[in-house]
Amino acid sequence: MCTSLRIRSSDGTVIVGRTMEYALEVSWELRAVPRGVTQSSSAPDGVRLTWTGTNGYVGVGIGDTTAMGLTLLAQPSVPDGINEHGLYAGLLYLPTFAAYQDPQGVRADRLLAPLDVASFVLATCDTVPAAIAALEAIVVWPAPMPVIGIPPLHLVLHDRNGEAAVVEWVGGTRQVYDNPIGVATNSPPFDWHLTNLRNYVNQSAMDVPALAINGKIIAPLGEGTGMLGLPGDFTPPSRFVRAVAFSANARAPNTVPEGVNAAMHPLSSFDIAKGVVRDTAPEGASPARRAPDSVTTPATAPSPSSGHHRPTPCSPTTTQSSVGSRCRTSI
Amino acid sequence: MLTYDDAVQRRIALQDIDLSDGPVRAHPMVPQPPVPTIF
Repeated sequence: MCTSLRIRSSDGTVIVGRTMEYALEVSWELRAVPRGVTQSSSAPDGVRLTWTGTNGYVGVGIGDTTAMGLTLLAQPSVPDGINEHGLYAGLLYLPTFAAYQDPQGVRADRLLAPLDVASFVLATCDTVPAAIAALEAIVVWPAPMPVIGIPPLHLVLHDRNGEAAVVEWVGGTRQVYDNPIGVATNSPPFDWHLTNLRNYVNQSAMDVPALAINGKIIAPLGEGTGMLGLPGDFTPPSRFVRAVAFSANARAPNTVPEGVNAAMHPLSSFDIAKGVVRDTAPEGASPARRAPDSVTTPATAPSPSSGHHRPTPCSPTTTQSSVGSRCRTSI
Repeated sequence: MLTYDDAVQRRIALQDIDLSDGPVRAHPMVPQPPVPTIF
């Protein structure tokens, strides 16, 4: 499961936070990828799209991982990161909907594997429009990766100017959506989630007043009535609605550290205590069958740092903010 | 070696990370128990 949201501070600073819960206990790594690093993507015939980064970036990568009797070697690309120009790119799962482009007849050096998409744009682009333009010249093909198979991904983009977009590959074509709300989760595709918000227009941060019925006063039991009915489960639509409620109603922080905290607090709402969400696939089934997007890996994550430090049963979460010299990553 | 742990909650500013040149650097994220505080 993945949940991504954006907080904007009073001075316009953009802070992006996301969660990633995975079936495997992945050995996550913090990566610093300087300018000039050359990387290649995989292609069917061995000729590869190769790029040399014009931007340095940092991100969370997959290290050598052994879990569930399987070994996943470290992957050179990061599923989540921010570059020195303040471009953020994050890959989230889009299971049962992601269907990549057909590589047939495409020059192999124009083919990009799904897991390499975030690293590619981080290394070569500085804004959301630039990243979208770069991807127009690229075909993202269904390249399998060890253990995982073909990862069903979509791409979340944010930049220092407040531009945000979601790029999805559905039905073999690339779909690009503006993301003015700044939230993303998982399936179904992004436009469905935006439509679904219309089911929740009653959600308000403001408590509701008492009712008077035939002279009888029906008073609320306490605070929180404004968000009464806010979906609290872990399905992607419910997490999307919840993330919008949090990010849209967040008081604008005044500083970057305040903004990081403002992003981290709502992300705790998506923590999954181990065992609360379970897969029905049989023990020993492949990770692909075991729905790696639906079970939490207990690991560590930055907690909301309001002076308290506590262990958090969720997987690695990064929070980035970006504006000029204020580019930061909270890791 | 720089490591991450939940108790310490290290936060690193991007401008403090040298991204100008050199190889990829990787730092394991090592879960650690919280550091007890004695009052």
